[in-house]
Amino acid sequence: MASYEQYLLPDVLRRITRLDLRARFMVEGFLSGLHESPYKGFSVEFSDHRKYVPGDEIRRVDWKVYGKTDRYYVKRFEAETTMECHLLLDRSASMGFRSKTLPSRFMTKFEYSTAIAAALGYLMIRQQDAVGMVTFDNRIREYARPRSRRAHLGNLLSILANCSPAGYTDVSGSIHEAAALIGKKGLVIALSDFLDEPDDLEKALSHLRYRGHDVIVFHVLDAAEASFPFSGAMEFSDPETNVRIKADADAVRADYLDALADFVADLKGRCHALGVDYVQLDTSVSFDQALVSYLSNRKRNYM
Amino acid sequence: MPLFFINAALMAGAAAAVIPVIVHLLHRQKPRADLLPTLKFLKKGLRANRHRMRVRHLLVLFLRIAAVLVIVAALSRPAWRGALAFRAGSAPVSAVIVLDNSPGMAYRQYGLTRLEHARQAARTAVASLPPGSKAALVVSGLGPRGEPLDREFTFNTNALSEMISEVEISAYSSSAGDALARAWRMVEEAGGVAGDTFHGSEVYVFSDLAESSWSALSHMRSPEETVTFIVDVGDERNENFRIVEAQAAWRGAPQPHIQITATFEGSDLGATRLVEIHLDGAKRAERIIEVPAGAARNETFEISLLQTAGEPVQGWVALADADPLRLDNTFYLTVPPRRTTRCLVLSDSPRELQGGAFYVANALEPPALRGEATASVRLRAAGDFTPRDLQDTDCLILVGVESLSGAAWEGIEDFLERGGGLVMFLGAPSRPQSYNPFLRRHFGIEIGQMSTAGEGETSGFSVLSFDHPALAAFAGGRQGRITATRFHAWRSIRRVSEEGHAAELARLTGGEPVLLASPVGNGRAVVAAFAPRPSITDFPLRASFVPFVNEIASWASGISGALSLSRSDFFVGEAVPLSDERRAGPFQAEVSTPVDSRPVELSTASEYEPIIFHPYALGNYLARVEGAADRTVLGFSANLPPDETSLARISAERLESALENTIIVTDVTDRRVSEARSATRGAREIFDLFIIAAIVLLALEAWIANRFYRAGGGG
Repeated sequence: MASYEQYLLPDVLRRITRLDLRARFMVEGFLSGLHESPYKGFSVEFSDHRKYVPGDEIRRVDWKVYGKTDRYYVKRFEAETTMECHLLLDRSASMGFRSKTLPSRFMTKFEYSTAIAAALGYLMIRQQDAVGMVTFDNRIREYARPRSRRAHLGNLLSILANCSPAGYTDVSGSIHEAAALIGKKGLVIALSDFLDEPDDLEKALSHLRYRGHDVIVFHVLDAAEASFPFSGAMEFSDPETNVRIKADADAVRADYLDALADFVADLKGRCHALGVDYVQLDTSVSFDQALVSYLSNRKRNYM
Repeated sequence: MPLFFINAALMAGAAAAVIPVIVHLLHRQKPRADLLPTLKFLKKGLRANRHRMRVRHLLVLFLRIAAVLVIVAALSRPAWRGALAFRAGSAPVSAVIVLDNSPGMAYRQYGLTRLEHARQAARTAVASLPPGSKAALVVSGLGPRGEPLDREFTFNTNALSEMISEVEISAYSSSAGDALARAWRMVEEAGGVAGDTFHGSEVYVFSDLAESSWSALSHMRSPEETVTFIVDVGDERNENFRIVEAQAAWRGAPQPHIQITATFEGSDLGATRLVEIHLDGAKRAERIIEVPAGAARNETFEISLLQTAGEPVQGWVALADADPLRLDNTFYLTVPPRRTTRCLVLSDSPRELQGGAFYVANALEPPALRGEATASVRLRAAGDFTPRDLQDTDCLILVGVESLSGAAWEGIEDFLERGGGLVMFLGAPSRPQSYNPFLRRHFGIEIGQMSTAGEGETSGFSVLSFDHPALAAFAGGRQGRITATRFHAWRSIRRVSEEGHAAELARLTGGEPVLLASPVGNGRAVVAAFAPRPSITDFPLRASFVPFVNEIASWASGISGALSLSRSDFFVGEAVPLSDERRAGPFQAEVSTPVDSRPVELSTASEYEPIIFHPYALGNYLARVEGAADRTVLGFSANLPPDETSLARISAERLESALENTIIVTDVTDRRVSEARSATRGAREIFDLFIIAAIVLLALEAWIANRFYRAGGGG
């Protein structure tokens, strides 16, 4: 494995404590892998040229091309860095869950989501998109307005580094609140476990769509939540409500997985109906899936 | 019940089953706790799941209890008997070997005695016991010292085989039926200890089925789950001659001799046999006799022998020809020493030739045997008699004495009081007035005038009972047929009182009493209502007169030592009681046997009756008793009881009807034995199955408990 690509694996990346380095490694690893990937051509480094027209800034002229062709061309990307993106990060207590049953190499849902958010922020700032951030539990806790300056990345990472999962979740209410807060149309990326009523979630997402946003939903689940690896007599407790249930894990596994699959399918169907990109992730999945989803959305809607 | 436990006592350990319950309750395992934000997806089917958890909880508890119980059961050595028991014959059993070692088992056939055949078969039976079996030994007869030879159950069957090899013929024989009852009792007691019912039990009885060994057979029932084999080592046809019994006694006429009467019997074959008489270490007589098949024959031997000085005469009667059972070919005899009876004969005319005193004195001490006869005689005229004459006298005989003075009668009564004897021949001279006071006092009779038979007629002599010691020698017409005696005249006797202890021994034809005897003080007195004169009776001329006078004088004198034996013939194992007039305490005695001489204890088994316990052996014994007033030599013989060597057999039908669950075979390899054994051995220990079951239960428990309580789950 290439030196950077290994940083797309959660169990490798979690050993890097500095969030900025974590984001950088993720993005560099991701981009270095693109040379061989089917997503070639979506690179932010790729510079398309177009003929110079009067009114274009002279500093945008690609003089190397002029020297070879005696014609004026300007780099296309420099003229299209106008997208605003908001990262909505769920920081409720349920996001801090990591099963005792699984090996400790896995991140919590919050750590996983934070890493994705940092990487996306790094990537967007790098291509001079404006990135803002909203953290929430049962309401919005932090809000950073979108900026495209490189220095803004430090603000974002600072927010991410300083927040910890706590409180109970109200995903729908928080999204409604964010929809009201975000003014200019843009891209909204929500990272959450979305443990809320599907109807409420649908309304919240439709609120965002109504406001003209493109929405990507990263539905982050813990690996234990997704696979239910428990066995024998278990006493489960909800980290937010502290409700406890004793159960024979083997006996309830099938019912649990069915119920979870139904929920995911329902949520995915509703997102699809709303034109929302739905990406299901669990903490054992490589980060590039999240980055690809973002880039494909950006290409589809902003290029 | 098909399932049983060899060490059932260990099943008490089943109480340990409460341990897992207690542990289970005390350390009830709690479910592992974990967080799960997606808890809401669990709620479906949760009630059914809780029920399943409880069931699994109880299942683990059940498995733990079952594992403990199965382990305890395994340690108790479970065994299975029944149709499903494979590897039949491997289960251990409790076996009891019963050996009949009665004298009849000494019968030799095919080169070995029946006891040797029985021992071989018994060892074979022991060797065929399944591994882990326990065995015991019951011997019908006692050991050489009268000790029981039974051996308790042991798992060391080799040692038991050695014990079997050491069993010998015992004359202290008891019933084989009793031995079988003891064996069954041992089986029951072994089964009763802490519920030890694991073994099927097998009892093997090795016997020749002689009726004498099984005579006391009563209906008996074998214990539960016990099969009894009676292995017949005998035979229906037996060729045995035996001496059933023999008696010997001194006889004094016509000259002192020993008379031996023996009874011989042949079992199945009649034949002539050579009989030998050995006395005082020398063969004294031999005779060829015809012994009929299946019947007894009596034979009498008269052995002339010089009397030894106060010592008993010992010897034996032997069938000289060998036969298969030699133990009963010799019968040991002891004849007590015959003491000389010192007689004083009083008569008014002691020198009268052909007078009564003449016949009596010559009968007691014939001139040809003077000094060697069993009696010594002094003749004295009645008029010269003084009580001082009785000092060296054992028996006073009055013959034709008209009367005695009062002082003389007083002296006679003192003499009788001291144990002396008195014989009175009351012929014509005797005056009733002189005799009747004495006779009334001690006999309850009076004598009257002389009576005579009619012209040309006589009166016969009728003995009322030959059981009386004075007349026992004449029983069966022996000693010259005393009943042929005829009387012309006799003294009439009438009973005047029912008092007194006079026994009427003989009567005349007309019913008049003619011979009476009565104890007087410590002595004895005899009244003969006739004079021993040929003119009034032919008695003095008959062959029976000499033994009559000797037997009467001997009985009347009744001389007894301080220490004596009531009899001299005993069975082996019998106690030998001594009569001791002085009531002396315990004695030190030395008992000499034909093979050795050893000191033995002479104890007082009861307050007044010292007893010699002689050791086991057939033979003659001399007990030299020291510690009494003087040294006394007492002799006695020990022989087998007459039925011990009887080879008459009990019928198999009777045996089988009396003994339930009993199989009679002639060989331990008989097919019926192996078939019957399947009932007791048709089981196998299933210890291994229980261990496997315990392992399976523990593994199942571990798997379920690990999965249910301890496992961290997959992942």
